[in-house]
Amino acid sequence: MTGQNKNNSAAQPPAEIADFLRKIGPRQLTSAEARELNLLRLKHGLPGASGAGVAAELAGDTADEG
Amino acid sequence: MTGTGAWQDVLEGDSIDRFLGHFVLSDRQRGKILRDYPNADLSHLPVSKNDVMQDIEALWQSRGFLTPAETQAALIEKYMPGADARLHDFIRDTELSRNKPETVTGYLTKEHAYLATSLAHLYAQQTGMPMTMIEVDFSNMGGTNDYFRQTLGAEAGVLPVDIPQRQAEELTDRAVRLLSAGMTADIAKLYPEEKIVPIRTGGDELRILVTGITDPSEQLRLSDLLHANIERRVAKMGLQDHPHLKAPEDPRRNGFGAALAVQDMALISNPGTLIQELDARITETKNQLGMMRLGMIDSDAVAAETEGRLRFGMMRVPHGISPEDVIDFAIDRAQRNAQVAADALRDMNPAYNRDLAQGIAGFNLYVDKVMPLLIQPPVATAFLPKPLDKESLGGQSRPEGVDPSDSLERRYVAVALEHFYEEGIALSPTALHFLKLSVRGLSPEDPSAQVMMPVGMVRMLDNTAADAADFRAQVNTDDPDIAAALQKAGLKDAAQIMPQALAVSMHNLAGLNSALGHHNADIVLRYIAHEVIGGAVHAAGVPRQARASFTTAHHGGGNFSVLLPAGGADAQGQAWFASQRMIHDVRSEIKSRIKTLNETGIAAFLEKNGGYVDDSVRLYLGEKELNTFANIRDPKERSFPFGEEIISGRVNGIHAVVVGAAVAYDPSMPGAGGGAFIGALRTRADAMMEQLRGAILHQAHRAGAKTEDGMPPRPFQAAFNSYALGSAQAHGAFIIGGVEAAKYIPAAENRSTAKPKAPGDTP
Repeated sequence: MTGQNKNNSAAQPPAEIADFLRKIGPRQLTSAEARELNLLRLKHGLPGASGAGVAAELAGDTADEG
Repeated sequence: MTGTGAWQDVLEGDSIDRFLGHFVLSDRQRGKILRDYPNADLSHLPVSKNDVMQDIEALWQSRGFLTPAETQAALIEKYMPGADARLHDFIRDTELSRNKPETVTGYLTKEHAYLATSLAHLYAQQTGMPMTMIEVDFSNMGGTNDYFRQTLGAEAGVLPVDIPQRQAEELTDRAVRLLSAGMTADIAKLYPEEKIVPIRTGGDELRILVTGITDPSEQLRLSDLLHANIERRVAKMGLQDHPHLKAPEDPRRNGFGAALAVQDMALISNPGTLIQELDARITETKNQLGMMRLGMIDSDAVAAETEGRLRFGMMRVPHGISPEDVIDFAIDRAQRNAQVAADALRDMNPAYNRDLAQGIAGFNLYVDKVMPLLIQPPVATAFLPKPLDKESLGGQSRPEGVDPSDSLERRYVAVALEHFYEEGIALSPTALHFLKLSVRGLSPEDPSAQVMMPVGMVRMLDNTAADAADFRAQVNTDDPDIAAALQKAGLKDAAQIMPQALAVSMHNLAGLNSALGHHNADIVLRYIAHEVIGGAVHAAGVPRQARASFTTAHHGGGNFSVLLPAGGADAQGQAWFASQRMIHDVRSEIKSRIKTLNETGIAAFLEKNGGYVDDSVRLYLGEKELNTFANIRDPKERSFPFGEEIISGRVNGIHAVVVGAAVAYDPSMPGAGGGAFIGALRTRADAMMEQLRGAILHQAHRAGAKTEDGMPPRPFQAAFNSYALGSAQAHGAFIIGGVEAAKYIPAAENRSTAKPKAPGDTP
């Protein structure tokens, strides 16, 4: 397939996040739980909301952070 | 999830299961074809769903991921080798016409949402190729309508109420269109080689499927870039600051906008809970973006993000400083950037920058300037074949061989067959099967409720209205069987025969979503559509397996409509007619079925009907005391004035309001049409539902019950010709209208309206 790379990571979502969601069950998350989920995702290097990246984009501060 | 193959455990897997099944002829169908056409060649047809699945995988290998319409067109082409090229073209164009963009966003319509999502998830699982799902939710569309109405009013020197609501909504639609087009253009610019499938999944929700985004850092980059560009565009439209309709006191929620969650589809651990997980992520993103607009930052989130980046090698700790220092530095930097970003956004915003074009003219100028620059990713589409592209298929335009009571699907098929007959193109039995399959897609189905989309109902209403006189003219009242059927329907003569329509408004779909998740709520929604409403229509006398049956459509949330044709005949040829009596019976039956649903155990129901339920869900239901559907909590605290009192509370359980009317308009008259007709009926049902909620709370209050406890089931009086339905356990009430209501009204007037002193006290 043109322009596509095989994704070899085939990773499972982090167990900590899977457990967190399993405990909540099928219902809608409360705002406190939404915040906790976001922090867990960010700690695991997954896309989440911090505002930092968006602010950096807008401020033109997107140089390599390494 | 249903299904027996690899698709069993994917998101919306039952959509794939049904899709695959369309291509597989049953033994009965094969037998009939071979009886009628002994030389028919069926060797190229799939014999099982797994065969079809293999063919889809082969398509993915050769052409990459495809939209559902492209997939169906390609499969049909494969299964009709040697067919006339004109037939192939006709079917391909019919299929691809379904990719016609939705008018507001320019995205695919909701009919494709579930199948596209399930195919994408399966694609990620089966091919190991990257597939990303971007879930998008707009913010404060209601508040933005209000903002435009006020601005239009101020500019015109009139009160906002003097500005037509539609005029304001059209401006909000323009803002929605700009952000929608902006997102797909941004993605296409970043990933020009990848397949992008954008879908409008709800009133304020979008989903974008994208191939080829390989790792979390890329997803983070995409998410940041899309959000940054959304913020820029919102600022330039001058839509950053107006109050939120539901939270005017929270400045973080001010303005218009959109937030999104990016999900690698290879990492979906539980399809049954994914949507609520994404909703939660979007909610949190909205908070963060709202803070950023104000120049603030959530330091916990920045610390967590930095920790994650360090931990997973996306960021290095420079020599000589500690990880904690790196985190502190990141927080400081984010805070500085947030302030710079907020200032930059204000500078782009005409409300703060008087050098920019102001007001509605400024808004329109900006949108007009930017829209053509947003280059959209290509989506294969085609014009509907000319023979099918007709305004009306009823009245004088009714195709030959079609009865006045026939379905939309049958009308389209008749038009297609007529076309091929005139063209002299013979159709093989398999060609006929696939032509019908393709043309059926022109009566699109709402994937949540698995009944017709509103657009189909509007067309069907117009056809039925146009055909009503023809239907009456065909009725021979001298026939004793017809006379008996008329009498059974409560009709005096043929002049009273009319199609009938119902609007059904269900209460607490939001509660079902909130308590059980989207997937399980869909299962309940389908049960309501097919077993509560559909079952009630059959129980009221519309026969199953009849050529002319009824049509149900889902209008989003808990809103349904039903069209009963003027009449028809059952499988034995016995006539039946729609009538007010039948409507009455449908209402009574819906009442009974809703009562039963409210008494039904949730876990057992979900298990039986293919919902997501396992030991942890059972535990959750037990802990939350969600035993039956009567326990489904209303997520909204409601307030209703009664005299000088305001009563607040929640209306738990499932309730329904049914409003009926004869379809007796002339679709050729200006201003008349199925859209206006069903819109008016739905508005009335919604108003009735609001009245029912107030009645339930009022009665609970009068009974001295806590608002979330049980209440006595007793008639509530209202001058509407409708029924409100529920159960004793679920705070049900029964609204009686017309003459019957009169006998209750005096009693109601004499009742005390004294407020109970405390819960449990009765006045």
